[in-house]
Amino acid sequence: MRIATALLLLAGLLGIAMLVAAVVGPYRIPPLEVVSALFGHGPKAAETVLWRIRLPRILAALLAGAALAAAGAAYQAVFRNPLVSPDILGVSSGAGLGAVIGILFGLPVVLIQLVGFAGGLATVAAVALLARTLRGGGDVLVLVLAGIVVGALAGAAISLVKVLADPYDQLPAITFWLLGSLAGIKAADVLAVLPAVLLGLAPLVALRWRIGVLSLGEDEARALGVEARRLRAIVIAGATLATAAVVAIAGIVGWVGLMVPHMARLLVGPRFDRLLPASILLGAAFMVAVDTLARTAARIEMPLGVLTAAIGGPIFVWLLARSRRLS
Amino acid sequence: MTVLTLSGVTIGHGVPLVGGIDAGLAPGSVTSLLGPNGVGKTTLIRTLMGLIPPLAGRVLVSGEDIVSLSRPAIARRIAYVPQGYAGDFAYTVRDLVLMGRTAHLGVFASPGPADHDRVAAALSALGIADLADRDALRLSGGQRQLALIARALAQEADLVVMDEPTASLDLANRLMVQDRIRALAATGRTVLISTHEPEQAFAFGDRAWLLGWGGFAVPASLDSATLSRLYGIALAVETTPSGRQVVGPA
Repeated sequence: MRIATALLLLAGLLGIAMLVAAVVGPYRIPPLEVVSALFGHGPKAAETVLWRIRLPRILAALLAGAALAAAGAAYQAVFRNPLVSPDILGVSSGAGLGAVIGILFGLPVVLIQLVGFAGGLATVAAVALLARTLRGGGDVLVLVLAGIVVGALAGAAISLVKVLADPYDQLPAITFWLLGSLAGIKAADVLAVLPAVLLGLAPLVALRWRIGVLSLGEDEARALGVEARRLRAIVIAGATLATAAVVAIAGIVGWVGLMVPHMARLLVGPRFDRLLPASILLGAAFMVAVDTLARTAARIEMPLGVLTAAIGGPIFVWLLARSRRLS
Repeated sequence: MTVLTLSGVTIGHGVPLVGGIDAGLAPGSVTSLLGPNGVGKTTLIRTLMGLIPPLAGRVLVSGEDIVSLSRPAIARRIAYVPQGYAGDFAYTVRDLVLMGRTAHLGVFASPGPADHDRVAAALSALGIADLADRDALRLSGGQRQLALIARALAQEADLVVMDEPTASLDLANRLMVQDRIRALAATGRTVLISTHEPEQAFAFGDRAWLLGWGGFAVPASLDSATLSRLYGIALAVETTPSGRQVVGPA
């Protein structure tokens, strides 16, 4: 498929997912009313629901999906491993730890986000420091292992916080947040993380050709004229920033960063300069669709992490089986 | 003026491996870097490409010290052909060769139509234009090697360095790749090829650098005595009736 056609198709998919998300819910807004409400000509109730509740949530889902998918594609390229995801550096766990500590101390939502964000960045710093101490910072595998170790430590600390938390009030909140959710998102939340997401994604988009070359490995990339170590540091920092920002508003939503780049690769091939925009669009569409499902499929709000895992697990197994056949 | 000059170079990853290397590559020459496995041929190649710094001495590329050059500046002067491509992603031959254009692009730029033209020319030059849209991981070892050489061609560097480009190939593929490398050399590019087989060195002409357990040397010719010293066993170079040189036990 031609790249322009594929991207147009994905953009259309995203548009449809957003429209459906705007229509469905306890208060149903017909498609035409959605359009008129967007331009301020709709019924008062529809306008209020759309602007106050649905649009912030749709935009949050869009940002989360785009950021996680882009980060996943970027990690896969720099680690030269199609089976890694944003969780690999322990970013999600680190940001999660920060956020549950915020919940434990009863901090307001904005501060919880900030602490979560700080936790994510602190994890990456710890991972980078650990990798540097162990092996001069050069070896990719050491970095991945350091990420697993620090991520496991953060996971253990989260369990400790859960034991300490008040079982009737805080524990359900922590548990639900850890499963990932966009319930109760406000416009202010979206605006709060937008700069971090854009700042994280900008270098990935700008350097997309070079990031693809980096996926050949450090020596080959350098021989082809890429300052590999500097580029890798920039990519990891950008992808991590975007991931941490998303965790701060959506909680830990697994699988998207792993699954979406793979589906995008089936559509546009492995070239990173094509894969990145395709992953961003597909991730956004996927997340908007999953979040719509989460709030409408059952009487209760389903956690996002449960849905993405239910969809992602089988797809991952299929991908693994497929890659085994190929090799 | 040499394309590449090594003056008093000591190679090694932190620990000195071989020292006192003095050599140069004249423009348009084809030189084999010959030596047994494990003596540091790859370390020497990585040093002269600026991938690791020399522990002593200087590597000059067109007269400039390599440690003062940026990665893109080096890549515009020296292209590298690795032993093989065992990639993690299923790039097509065209995409792989297109990556050879990176050093000519701005930091934020992607390849344009002019780059695609150069890629097409490089693929034709190696006779693999028909493989352009094939998955590079699904080609024969020889075809894949030709794709990597095409990438070096698209890189438009004066010097092409090949690290054992035929070591893992079967006979038919090896002869085919060897043939295309000779054709490439005839276009006036400077080529350095590392190999552990003397007969490969003969196939590319008898200009050679030797790297053995005794150190580095640039021999006057690859005769029986020289090769025997290099490999530490008694060897004899014989000439077949067709004029080909072969190496066997003395």
